[in-house]
Amino acid sequence: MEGWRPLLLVPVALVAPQFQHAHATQYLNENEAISVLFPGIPFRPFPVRLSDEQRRAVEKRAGVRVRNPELRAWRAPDGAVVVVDEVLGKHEMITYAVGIRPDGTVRGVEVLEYRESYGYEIRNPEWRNQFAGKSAAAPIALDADIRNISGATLSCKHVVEGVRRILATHDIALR
Amino acid sequence: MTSPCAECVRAQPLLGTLVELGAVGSTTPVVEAAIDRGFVALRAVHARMSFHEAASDLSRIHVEAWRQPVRVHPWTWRVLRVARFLAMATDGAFDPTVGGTLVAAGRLPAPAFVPAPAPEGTWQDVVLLSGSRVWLRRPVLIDLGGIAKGFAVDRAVAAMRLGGVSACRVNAGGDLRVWSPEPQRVSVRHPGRPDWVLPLVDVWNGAVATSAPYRDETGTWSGIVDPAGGPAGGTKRSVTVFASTCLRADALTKVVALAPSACTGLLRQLGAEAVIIETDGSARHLPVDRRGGWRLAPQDSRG
Repeated sequence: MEGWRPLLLVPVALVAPQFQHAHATQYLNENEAISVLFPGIPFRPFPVRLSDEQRRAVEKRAGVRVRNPELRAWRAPDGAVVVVDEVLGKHEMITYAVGIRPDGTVRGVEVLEYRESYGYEIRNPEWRNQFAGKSAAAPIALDADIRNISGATLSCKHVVEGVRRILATHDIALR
Repeated sequence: MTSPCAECVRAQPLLGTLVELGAVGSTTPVVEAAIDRGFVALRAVHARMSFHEAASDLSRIHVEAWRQPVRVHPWTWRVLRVARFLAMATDGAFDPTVGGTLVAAGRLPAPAFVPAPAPEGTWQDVVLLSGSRVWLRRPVLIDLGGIAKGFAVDRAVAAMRLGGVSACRVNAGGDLRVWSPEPQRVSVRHPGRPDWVLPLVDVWNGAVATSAPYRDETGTWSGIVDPAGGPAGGTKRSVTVFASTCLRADALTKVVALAPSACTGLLRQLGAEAVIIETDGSARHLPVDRRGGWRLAPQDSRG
């Protein structure tokens, strides 16, 4: 092809072979997400567990499976709610927060963490357990230099479905 | 309870992907406010140019513009003008009226209240009139998908710069733009090994877009539609373009992917540079004469 010249490129692995971890980006922790979504408003933890009946109602309303009946939620005095959830794609795990106003409308959606993995099964509980209990203050070893990647691999479909599920959950169980 | 930092990065689901906004500034409130403005700009582009939203300019065009001209936001008109220019410059190899093909292939939902697109419809049926109006000679479906994403990235950067930041970057699912006093290293995903990246370019004022048939949720779709003959699922190479704006970079990835031999003049004319990477990691480079806000990364360093 006229004008094109050969180019040598040296690849870099996103996953260091000696670690069982994945390429990840941390944006916000839970408290930061709450203050981004509702600046200056005090929130208190408000954990909720859906009953089987509520779970079925949410699945029917949102058209999405409820994989976990436990909700990580926070509530403000005026009734505003923030829910933190995580969704799994084929190669990625996304933790995000949804801010819901007292009237039930969405104030915003912020991503807390994004993790991708190609060598390991993201749905494997053993793989996921290595992240359990880790706060954003104790980051997993990762290649922090690689932060601008061109080339899309994911759609936000799962997050969008998750938001739909959370809105249905709010309507059915959190008002 | 915000942490004391003058550099922040946030991400939201928008434009069909995850969009990441990063900025550096004198104080945290300045940076956070600028990032908020960036997201507002992204949402505005999405609202106006989304194929799915019934109230978008695009949907209003589909429903009405074949009957009478429809007035749209100047941004929408600009993106359509670029789409038409590209179609003209590539003799239709790039054609934004592939919406009909995508709907037929099940890749896009058929919009409501819209007549079936005329099978012989092309980009030439999209007429741009003065006063920010659009007219369709016959019913066609326009999909601005990728180039609207590139345009959104540009608008977000402009909004953040207005907010007084000293550096910023936007990455919308791989379409990205950087404005920074220090060059930022940008890597491209290896088309054959998704767990590898190829550090490719250092950018301080420019955009990078990559178009590639990465396996998505369904496993097979190539992501590029050849208007001449339906989905182009053959090659799995990745195409990356560097340009001064993300709108340009994104649009040109399609052109290079569809016609790599014929596009060299157009890229030169637009001051854009391109790299094609095969699944085995071998690569080709189309250099540019004009100096842009980027340079290829030296390949002896890592990370």
